[in-house]
Amino acid sequence: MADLGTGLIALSAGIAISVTAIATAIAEKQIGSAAVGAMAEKEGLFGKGLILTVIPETIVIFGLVVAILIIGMAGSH
Amino acid sequence: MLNPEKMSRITVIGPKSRAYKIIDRLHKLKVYHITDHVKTEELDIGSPLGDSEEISEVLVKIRAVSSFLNIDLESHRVHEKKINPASARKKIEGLSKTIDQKSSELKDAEDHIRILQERLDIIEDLKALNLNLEAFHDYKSLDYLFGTIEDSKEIKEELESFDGKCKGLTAGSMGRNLLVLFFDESIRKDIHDKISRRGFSEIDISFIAEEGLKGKPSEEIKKLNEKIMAFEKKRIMINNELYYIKDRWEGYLADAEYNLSVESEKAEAPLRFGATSEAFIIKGFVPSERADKVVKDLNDTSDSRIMIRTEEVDEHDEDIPVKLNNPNPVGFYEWFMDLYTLPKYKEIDPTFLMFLTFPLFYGFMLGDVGYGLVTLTLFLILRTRIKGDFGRLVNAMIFTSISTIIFGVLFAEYFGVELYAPILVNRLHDTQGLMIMAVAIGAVHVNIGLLVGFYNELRSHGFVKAVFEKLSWLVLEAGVVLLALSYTDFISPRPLPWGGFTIIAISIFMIYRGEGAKGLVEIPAIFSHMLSYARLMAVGLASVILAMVVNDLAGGMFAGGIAGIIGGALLLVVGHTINIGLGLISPFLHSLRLHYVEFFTKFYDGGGLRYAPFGAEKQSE
Repeated sequence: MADLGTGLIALSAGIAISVTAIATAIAEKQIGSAAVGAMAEKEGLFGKGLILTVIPETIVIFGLVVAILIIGMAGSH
Repeated sequence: MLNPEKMSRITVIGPKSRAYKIIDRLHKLKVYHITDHVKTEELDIGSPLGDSEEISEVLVKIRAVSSFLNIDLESHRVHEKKINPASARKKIEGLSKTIDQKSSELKDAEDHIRILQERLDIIEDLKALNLNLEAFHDYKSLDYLFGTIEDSKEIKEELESFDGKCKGLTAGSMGRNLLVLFFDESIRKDIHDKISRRGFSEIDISFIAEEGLKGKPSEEIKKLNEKIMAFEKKRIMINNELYYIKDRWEGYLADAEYNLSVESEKAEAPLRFGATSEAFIIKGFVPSERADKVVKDLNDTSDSRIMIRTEEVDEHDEDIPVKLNNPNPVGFYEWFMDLYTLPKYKEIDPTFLMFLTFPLFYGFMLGDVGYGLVTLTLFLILRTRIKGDFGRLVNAMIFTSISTIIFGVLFAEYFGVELYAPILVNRLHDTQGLMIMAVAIGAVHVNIGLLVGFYNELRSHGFVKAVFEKLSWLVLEAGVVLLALSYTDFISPRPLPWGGFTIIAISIFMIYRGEGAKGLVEIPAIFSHMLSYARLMAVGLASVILAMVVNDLAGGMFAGGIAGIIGGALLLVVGHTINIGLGLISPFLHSLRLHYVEFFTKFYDGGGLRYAPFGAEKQSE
């Protein structure tokens, strides 16, 4: 049975991922709707719209990096 | 390969009498990029050649006729026959008259069918009420109403209060309640009030009295059906005739449309020239290797009655068109540049760099021999089907698939199954190692970007600016590394921290000199950009884990007898298909994004003008 400390570490890793994922979702929501609007005007903008939409993905990736670092920290102690 | 194709500036001056010949020749050569003349006080723009208006009129007619006949002009083009505007006009006018007549006949038949069909529906309703049609003729003191009502039971009770001055009949037909009322004219208003409160909606049957229809509804239905059939026949006949016309004319229309568009483009070309009352001047560019031939060609066509000046371009000019110059397979990756923005004429064309790193990143993320083989097969099949612009993308994806297979071998992944000890890194268990690897790739990539940026700046703004704007970032990185070393145990003895601090301070000063306050704001960005390459690990990890989950679930099901084996096999196919679908989209976008956002921002301005030679088919923007 894992002790409380391990549980806290797992919890913090989870928080790191989930909060950043929500942030990404909020950002992508706005960019995505704007991109769809732009595409309605000019279909050629699909490529650019797609690229712009995935830009905030960085946030959740940083979240994942932090989560992995937290878990790594747990392993070394 | 790293630079766009070299251009020469060619200016043509000649008398207006030669204009058509020159324009015609340039249109055939398909290499001359015309720079639109901007009207100045000294030099006006030219006016279109004589018959441009007539050509446009005929073109409009052709397009109208084609769209009425549903002709796809692109696909029927034969590209051979020469068609002159005057004869085309005569033919098209005749055709257009025939079509107008046919289309009005068609509309007439369709209108009749619609009206008859409406009457047919009404009489079907009357049939349900069991009344002869004479019942709906005009009376002296009686009136009648026919329609649908929401609640037929209650209305019947209410109508009894009129003491026999009103008689109602109801019937159900197609889920609606039909109601017909005969009543004394004197109580018309009361009746109206009552039934409108019950949701009555009247159906107009005045045509029965007007046309004096008699007898049983069923007989009338028969007659109506015959009439409808007759008009249907007529409609089919007209449609057949139109189809015949389409079949006969589509080749001609497509050719005429093509030829006349070309003529129209030529006739309107002088709008892009400078002109005096007697002469014209055309300014534009030609790829340098074709310049001599173009000059000779133009002189030949005009019997040397024109003046042509060829110049080397000054690469700082903004109006030089850009034609990317990459042999395949690198050329396939020009698709990504079209998607973003073309480089300026003096800039490095990053297509080749992209050709090297795009498949690398994509493969690093997807990295599975099985998936690579599936996508490779997919794109090899698509390659024979898709041509043109997207054909280049498909070809580019073939290389990324091969890279996926190579990384799959290095990661020892075969549809998520680890067949042997991984050569490079175990993606599932050594996430930290994978992450360090990803960020290291990022550091290298970003620094390559900075070095390319250094070269670009050197070329356009000189050495000092290049050092302050681009090398300063490398100095900053060196300072940070030195500082990091003085707090860790990688080398001993540890360097003193002030060394790192000093170098960082110098670099910050350099960045401020080079890029101003904007540069200072961006200082953390360079490290976040490198960290951003951690997505190489993250996206890959997601793909591996999904594949493993599918395999584990299916493996569990295989133990459960025949049904389990079938279900497991199904799950394997569906699960891996979904994962491959995701694997096509996600690594593609992220690899692209790493180039556009993290890499290109280090050196790339873009905004180059697309080389669009006069006479060549227009490329869609």
